Amino acid sequence: MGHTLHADSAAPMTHAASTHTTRLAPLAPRADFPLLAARPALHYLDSAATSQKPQAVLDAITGFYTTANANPHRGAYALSAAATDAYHGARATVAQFLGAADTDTLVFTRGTTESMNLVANAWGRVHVRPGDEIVITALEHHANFVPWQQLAASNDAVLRIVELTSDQRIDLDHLASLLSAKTKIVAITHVSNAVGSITPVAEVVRLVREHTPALIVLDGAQGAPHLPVQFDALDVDFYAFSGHKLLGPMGIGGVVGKRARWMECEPWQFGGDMIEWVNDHDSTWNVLPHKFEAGTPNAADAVGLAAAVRYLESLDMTHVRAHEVALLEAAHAKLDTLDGLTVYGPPPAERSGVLSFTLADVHPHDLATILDQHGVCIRAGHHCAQPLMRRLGASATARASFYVYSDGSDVDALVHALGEAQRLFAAA
Amino acid sequence: MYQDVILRHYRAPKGRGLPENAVVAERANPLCGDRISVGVVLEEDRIVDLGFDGRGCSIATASASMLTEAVRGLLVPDALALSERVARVVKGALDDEVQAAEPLGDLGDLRALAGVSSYPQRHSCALMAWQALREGLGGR
Repeated sequence: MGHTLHADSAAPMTHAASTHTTRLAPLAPRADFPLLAARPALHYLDSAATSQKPQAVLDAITGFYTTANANPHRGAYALSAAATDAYHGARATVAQFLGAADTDTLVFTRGTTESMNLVANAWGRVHVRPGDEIVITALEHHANFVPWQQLAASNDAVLRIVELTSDQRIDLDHLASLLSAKTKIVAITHVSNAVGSITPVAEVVRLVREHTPALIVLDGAQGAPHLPVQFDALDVDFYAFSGHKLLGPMGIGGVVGKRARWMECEPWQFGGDMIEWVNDHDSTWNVLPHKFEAGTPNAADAVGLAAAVRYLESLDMTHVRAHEVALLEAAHAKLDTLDGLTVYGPPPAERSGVLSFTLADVHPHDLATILDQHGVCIRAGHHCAQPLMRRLGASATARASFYVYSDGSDVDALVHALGEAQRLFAAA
Repeated sequence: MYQDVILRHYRAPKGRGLPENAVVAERANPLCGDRISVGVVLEEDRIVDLGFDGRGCSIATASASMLTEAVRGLLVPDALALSERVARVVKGALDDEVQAAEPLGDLGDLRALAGVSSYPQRHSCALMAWQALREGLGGR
């Protein structure tokens, strides 16, 4: 269970605390985000689901279509070369942002879900043998759960699930106890989407490497947007991420891998671009990264993604992290007076900008509807993490999540609306 | 949407608990994990006893509570007809009727469900118990 916050005096809750204004400026100007600029009364607290997009990203996408649109890698004409350059320039920018020196070890996909399916198929199906073990955790998003569950089923392997501490962090002792020479893959989230727990990656890597040469796959869907990532220093084998959660467009993301591990992979989708020669009855494959990017690439969104990471770099990822911690701490300072509130996950210092909670007697769906009536957008549900919800003993939680454009007024609006919800349901 | 009638039924639901020897059907909402079961006891073609169980949001719970009051003692065809009428109310298909208010007069507390119609993402909450009832009665 999470830690329960409660008022320690009998004074009426919420109102006293909600009256003073939280002074915390956004890290990124709301004016940079056209949707937020057009709706000043909106408190968008669902960035863990998808982030809003700055004008720079929208301009980059439009710029590609208006100045460089042609099919990359295809034409012998200058415009196609411009499209190819734009696409590969985007790859270099994004690889650098993630701390991968070898640009071509970044393979673009539609996002984290496709990245996980890629690794499970291109590496997993080839190398996992009957009786091998795949280790995941009870924190995982379904995107880093179901591909491994299905791989285990198809290759007669055994799926092992690492349990959690009472504040929803990965139980490292349990992880250590599950590792053995049989462990073939360890797939773990960098940051929990549902409760925000940050995985101590260095410790996990050290534990795994002590026991087994297993493949280490990190789900960075909530890591890359919120924490500085240096892939080459992490010593994990694959790191997957989504563009739309880090200010980029939907439909683009990728997976960075160690070159040696990519060499062990077989293609998993077949078609144009990924081939070298196609004979009547067999084919040979193109080189990395093209071998894993069948079909016309999503070049325009890759260019948009590059603009997004440049925007984040201009803010500095260490400042992004500090901003989210400040917002979480401000939210906690006010919510501590709200009776019946249970917040899940570790304390703010070990949590990304996510506030996952339940409020006694008010169902999360009711909370989300009432908050929406106050212009506050939050997520309510199982957050694509049903195994975690079973362990919390909750069918659902409400989740507010912050990002670079969030500010003190968002915190205040959240706290105020929660007080209103509580009052509505408590009224005799 | 959160009218007093809804909140009253949510805080103190009627018909909580499944009667013995009831025919039970369950509906679940995979998005939030809510589950509502409705159990009916029939004599001939008449619903002589019923109740509900499970967990749900205020809308799902209040709707189930109202259901147990509204269909107790009804003949099966009448209960099915009522469930279809409630579905139209929830989906806003009876807008004119709702605004006129009077033709819904016989619906009693169920009229409050009209407030859900402008929240499409909550329609399934309001109809969970009614779908379970229909399933239990063998109609769809």
